Amino acid sequence: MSEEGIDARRLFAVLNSHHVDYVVIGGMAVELHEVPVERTVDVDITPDTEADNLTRLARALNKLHPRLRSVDLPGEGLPIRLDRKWFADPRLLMMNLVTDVGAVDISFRPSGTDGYVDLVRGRVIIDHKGIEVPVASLEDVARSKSAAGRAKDFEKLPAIERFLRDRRTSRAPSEGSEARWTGGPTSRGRRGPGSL
Amino acid sequence: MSRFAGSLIETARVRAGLTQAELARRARTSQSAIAFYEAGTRSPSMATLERIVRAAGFEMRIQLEAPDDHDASLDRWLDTIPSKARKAFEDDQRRRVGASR
Repeated sequence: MSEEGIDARRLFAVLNSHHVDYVVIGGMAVELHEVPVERTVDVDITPDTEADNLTRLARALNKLHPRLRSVDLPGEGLPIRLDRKWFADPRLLMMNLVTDVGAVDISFRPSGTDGYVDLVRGRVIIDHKGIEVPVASLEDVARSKSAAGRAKDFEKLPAIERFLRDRRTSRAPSEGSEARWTGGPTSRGRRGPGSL
Repeated sequence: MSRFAGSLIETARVRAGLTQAELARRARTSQSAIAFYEAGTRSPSMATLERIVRAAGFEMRIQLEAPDDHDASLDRWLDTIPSKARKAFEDDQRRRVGASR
């Protein structure tokens, strides 16, 4: 861990180079949308559960030396070699990992959503330090955090709601609905509501 | 409870497009009470919380779920991080949050 917290750029680069279909959710999604909240120390992603994609996901994560994370395991995690079968169990809703880039959580059906097919509809592409990252819409992140209902989820919700409100009120009617923008923590100021 | 209640009230208020004063009037309380609740410096009773949330146009639903060990496992991992690196991150965190307030 460094001042940067997690090396999210490297994670996204590895996922993209393996052609994994996924969306970033949770705190990292909030951060990538540039909502001013405390930074997260992990990255949550929701992958497409199509079989070949899960194979690509496993291969990508194996490049980052994944270890299973659990309160019942040593803090540094239990090394595992992932393959598609790990993800194929329909009872598996979430897998918590530690990797070379930091903590990574694979969430197959985030609270209040129907998983990837639901989230991909509203996802936007955000440029994060030169890497194109598919990120769940802030509306979907708020929906999921509301549904999760934990105190820690509600801590970030007021900032998200204020951000959404300000974006709605400052959006000009002539602007289209193209779900693509650039921005991200390293290019602060490049993306405002006007560049939606 | 106070931080959670405050976040809940502010989320409901902002989502409803209300100012603190407007919500206070609807909930038959004072603007300062809403401000205290949202800041987490005062904690409303459950009945008051429910009344305020309802005044914003929502209703509270509470459910019991099995514990989620996500944060506990994350803390166990963070304990393995060298303290210097962790302190640098936490210092940056404080600067970032401080700058946004």
